[in-house]
Amino acid sequence: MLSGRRVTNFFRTNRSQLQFSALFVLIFAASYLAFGVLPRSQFGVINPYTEFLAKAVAAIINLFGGGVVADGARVYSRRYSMDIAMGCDGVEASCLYLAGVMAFPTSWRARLIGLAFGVPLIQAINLIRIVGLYYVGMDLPSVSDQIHDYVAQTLVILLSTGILLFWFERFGVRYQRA
Amino acid sequence: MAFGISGHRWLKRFAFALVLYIVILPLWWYSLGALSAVAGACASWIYTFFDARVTLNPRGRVVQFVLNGRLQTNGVRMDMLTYGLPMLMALVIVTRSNSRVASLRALAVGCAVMFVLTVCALMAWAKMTSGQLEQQAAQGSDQSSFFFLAFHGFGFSQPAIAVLIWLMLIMLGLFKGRSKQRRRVATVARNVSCPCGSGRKYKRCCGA
Repeated sequence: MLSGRRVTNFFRTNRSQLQFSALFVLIFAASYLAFGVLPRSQFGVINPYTEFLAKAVAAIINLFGGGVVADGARVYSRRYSMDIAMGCDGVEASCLYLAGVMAFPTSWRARLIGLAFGVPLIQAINLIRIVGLYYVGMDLPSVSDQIHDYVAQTLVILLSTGILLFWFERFGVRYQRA
Repeated sequence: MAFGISGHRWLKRFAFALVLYIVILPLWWYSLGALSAVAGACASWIYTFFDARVTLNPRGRVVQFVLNGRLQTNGVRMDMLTYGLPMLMALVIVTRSNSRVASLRALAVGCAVMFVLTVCALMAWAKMTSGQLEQQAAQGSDQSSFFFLAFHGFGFSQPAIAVLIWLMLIMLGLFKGRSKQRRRVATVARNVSCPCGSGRKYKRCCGA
């Protein structure tokens, strides 16, 4: 059984870790609401960024001769069509990274470096994911739903976590506050 | 605060985690029925304290919403609510620990947190559904409501939530077992001088 003294000791010895964890969760929830939920509930389902993503995906696929057209948040060709919907815009991964960078007790310089290279990198990975999903949907329609739901999203989050850990070790700890 | 993962070692570990995740996925898929039954029953039981009209009825891999004994919706897909669980398990398994007991403890705590979150999500979904049904009756369907998107956001964020829990398990030291040094100190004879260097007998110092 946990005694009151043990619980108090746990909170005392893990104060900075608990502070980091609480801040991490709070910033993640707040940023996800601000960037993922509120824009859609307040300003409609298709936001300008999703349209931009659709255009970027179409441009990349057309580089390889896909004959793809972007219409709003929809990307389509004669062979396949897909919608870039909620959850496809990389907001979760970016919010996770943002929360980790902002919650870590380090200098603002390290945070700015982290945000400047991390968020665009995560968005680039997400763009590659959407392009990959287009080809999977076109060539492997029988497993495209499973890959879309369970593998692609997980892969992006894992890579984002990797970038976050890289930042923790290379920048976060180096410029850590005393 | 350091995570003990330096250089490019994390890349190897994450590649291993991804492979492990794909291995665990079928196990998770076939245990979803049982998970739905337990989580649905828990959420339904807790709901009786707040609103006795509402029942959550687990059926296979979905949990249905019943209001006043009448089935109201097709149900929520448990796979979309819990697919962070196999990822959390994969991440916990690939994390280096000095003790298997500590690893198992971290795995148990992580799964328990994930389960509690799932039950909370089911309850929020039931509340949202009942609210939405009332709203629909009043003014028609609204698929872009705040709660609708927030709930779906919880589903889409499952891997991110798994990572959050995993990082917290690391931060709170749940992967660390009891150190060998502490065990060695515990075997010091009571009447010899204390190994901490205080000059006092062990029984009057650290062994008190």
